[in-house]
Amino acid sequence: MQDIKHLIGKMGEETAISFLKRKGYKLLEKNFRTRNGEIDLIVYKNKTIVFVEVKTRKFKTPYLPEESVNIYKQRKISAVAKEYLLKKELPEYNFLRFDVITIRYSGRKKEEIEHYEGAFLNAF
Amino acid sequence: MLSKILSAGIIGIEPYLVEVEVDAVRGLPSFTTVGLPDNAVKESKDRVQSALKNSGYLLPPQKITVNLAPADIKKEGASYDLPIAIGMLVATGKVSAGKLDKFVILGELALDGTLRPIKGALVVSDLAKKLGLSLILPFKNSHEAAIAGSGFVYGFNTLREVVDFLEGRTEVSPAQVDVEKLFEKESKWSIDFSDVKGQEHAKRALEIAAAGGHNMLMIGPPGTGKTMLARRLPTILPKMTLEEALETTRIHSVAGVLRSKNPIVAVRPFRAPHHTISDAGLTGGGQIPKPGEVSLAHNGVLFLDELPEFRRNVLEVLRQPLEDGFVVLSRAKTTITYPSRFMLVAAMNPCPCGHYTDPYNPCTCTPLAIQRYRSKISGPLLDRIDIHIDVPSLRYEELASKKEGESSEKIRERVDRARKIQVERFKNLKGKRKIYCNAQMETKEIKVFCQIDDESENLLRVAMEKFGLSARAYDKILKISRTIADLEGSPEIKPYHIAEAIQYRTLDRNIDL
Repeated sequence: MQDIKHLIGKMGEETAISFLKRKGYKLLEKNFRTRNGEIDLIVYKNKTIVFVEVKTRKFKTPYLPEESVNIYKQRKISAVAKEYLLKKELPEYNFLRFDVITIRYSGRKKEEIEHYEGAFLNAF
Repeated sequence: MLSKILSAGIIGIEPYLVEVEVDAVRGLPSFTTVGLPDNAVKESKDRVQSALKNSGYLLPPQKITVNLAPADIKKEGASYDLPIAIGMLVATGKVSAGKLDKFVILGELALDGTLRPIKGALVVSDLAKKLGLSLILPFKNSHEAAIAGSGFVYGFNTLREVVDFLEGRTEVSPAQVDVEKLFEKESKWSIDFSDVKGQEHAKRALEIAAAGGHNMLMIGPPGTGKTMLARRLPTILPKMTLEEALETTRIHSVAGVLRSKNPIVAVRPFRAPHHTISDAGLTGGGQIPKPGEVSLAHNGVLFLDELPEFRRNVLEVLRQPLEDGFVVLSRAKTTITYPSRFMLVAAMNPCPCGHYTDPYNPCTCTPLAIQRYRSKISGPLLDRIDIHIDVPSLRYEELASKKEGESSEKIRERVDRARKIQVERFKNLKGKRKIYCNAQMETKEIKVFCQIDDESENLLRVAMEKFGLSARAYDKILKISRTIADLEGSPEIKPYHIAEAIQYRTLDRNIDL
């Protein structure tokens, strides 16, 4: 069971990467992990660094994937984002943004992608 | 980038300038409000963001800090929405800061970017005028604000309109109000004393109360017209001067009870709070201090129906406003003063069942019950009520009679004349305390102005002995007879003035059973 969930998550991340690349984003980091938590994707476009949380669900579940990015998850992502900014040599940027991408699978090769730009603000 | 917008806050009824500083920098996108905001101000973050988005302004994600200076005064209410929104637009470079330092901006935002009315527009307008600044506020408040002066008040319906105006894309003419005309138009009554059938005795007492500014208590069985009479008292009081009207309008503005179409209180207010009112409701106060009923009744009439039903502590807080004409609310952070010069008119039943003085219905109360009922009104409060009268039940003939009573206008002419005599009398009085009417006299002044001859003295002595009147009643009777004499234009107090005045002290008499 754990494996299936994990697999769906991985699949979702891959889908999100190709989706973002199609939109012209450059991938900076994938699964950036610290001891505070993890950011699924960190991408870059138009002098903006975007921290992306990818949520994947099977179509059958009654819950919307975006619902699970609640204030606690937001705080976690904010904290990791701060660590990332401290750690890395950053490309020249003007803006930072937190996005959420939700993916719902309704069978093989059929998916619904939703991209929430600026989904939330830095939470603390 | 940093932007600075001027706005205003209100403590009591005093406005002060607030600087809304908005700083937008790169960094993790966030939105923080500092400068002692209360919850309504903190929530403005979400309103502002929605309103900006729905007005078509897409702001890049940035770290935004809003500071409301001076930082040591608590800011409350939603009126900082508009300055914050404009500040954000300036800070992110969407609007040029050009002439922004010439404007005081206030307004609550709806999520779709329209502006909702705010409280205290008139008071803020006074401040803007004093500082030589222009004022931008919701259109619904613009008439009210323009009362303070014309040529510098601009009203808008939406956030977009404000931005277009600031950017110079549209010309907007300042709001204009002809205060004199508005005042004239609004100072009309829809009720009149001629509506009241019978009760000549009570009408006369009301006339005296109006003439001398005396507080008054009406005692009578239910349904005898106490409320009807009280409602008509403001119609016979001297007409409000424009200055008085503006004073009262300011208080109503801060309390947010003005109508946006005719935003001036041109007739003396009549406030009749329900007897379940709390002390904070009566004098003002609360976490966010708001003027209470006594202040809303400033320059008018406060009517307390069913006086003994009011909670004791509520009645006791009336003492200071009755004495001084203002309420002082001391809080840990600030001390607030609200003006509250009003005439108190109270009504009560003579006993719990209501029929003690009623010749047609028998009273079923025990003497103890009556005593207990009446003792709910404390001596010190009673001390401040000069006139007590009985309002008896009416008989059928009086009710059905076609005879029209006297009109308010006629009565008011007499009242005006009596007031003029009083103003003249107290004009040259030395001392700090200013006196305008007989009711404000204290023992010292009574000695000077209420001299009576031997015959009157005699009458008064007999009455006091016969009715068992208290010492308190003595001064009151002299004060009332002074007013009765003034109404007649008589310089001395005559025995029959005293005789009439004695009738107006019902409660000082012993209860005879």
